[in-house]
Amino acid sequence: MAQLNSTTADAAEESGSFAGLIRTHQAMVFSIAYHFLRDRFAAEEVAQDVFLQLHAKLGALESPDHIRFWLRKAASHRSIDYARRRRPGSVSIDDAPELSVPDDVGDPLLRARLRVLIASLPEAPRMVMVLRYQEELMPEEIARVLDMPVRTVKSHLHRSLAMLREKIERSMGEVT
Amino acid sequence: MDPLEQELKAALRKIDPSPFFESKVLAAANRQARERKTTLRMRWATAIAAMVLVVTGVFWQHQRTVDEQARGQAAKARLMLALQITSAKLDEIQEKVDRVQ
Repeated sequence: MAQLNSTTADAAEESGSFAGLIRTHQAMVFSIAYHFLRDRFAAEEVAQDVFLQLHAKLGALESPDHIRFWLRKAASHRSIDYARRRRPGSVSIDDAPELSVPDDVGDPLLRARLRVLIASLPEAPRMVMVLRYQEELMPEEIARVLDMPVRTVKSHLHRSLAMLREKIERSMGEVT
Repeated sequence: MDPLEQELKAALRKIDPSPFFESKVLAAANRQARERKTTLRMRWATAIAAMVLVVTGVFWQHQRTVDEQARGQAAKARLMLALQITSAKLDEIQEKVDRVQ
């Protein structure tokens, strides 16, 4: 089914229709916003804004790769802006309802814990982690998307991973 | 990739928005395009109205100047005629006075 959807979406993208672009990239744009904000409604709002902005400047984007890069960049920056605007009186991470993400294999509790820990990171390292592990981008690509030096991206990755490893090990120690 | 990174990849896997997301975005995009067209039309209408106003103003001002000049010329002609009549009358009176003396 996923394969079929992907094929349909690719065909639509090739035909250049805006609906096809939404179908192809909606999961990417929505997930960047959702993994960063951990709020389904906010993530859909951000994703919708990103696609509307894309619709307005579609003529200026030259290729599917350019569109994908632009969408990642717009989704990242808009999510950060949204989080900054929302900050006063925002919902606590622990209060936010978790969107059910299918966990086929592995430990669903560990993954839920990881999502909470990522959400507790400051804005820049949190977005770096989302782009690294959701989009599987290399540090150089993340640096281009977020307009930051590669050194900073690597440092955020290194420190965030160390923090996550330590907290996960500590919580596992508490359980055993 | 170590096991933690594998878990992170799985934890942050892509998820789909609500099933109505696509139609919602398309509707909003159509609305936005309509609004943009209306704004563009309004701008054109305002620009055309302003241009018509300026052209009318300039034409009216020009017409007023032409009318004033014509009225001035007519007044000048009337004055000249009056002066000519007065001068002729004065000449007549002068002749009569000269004859009496």
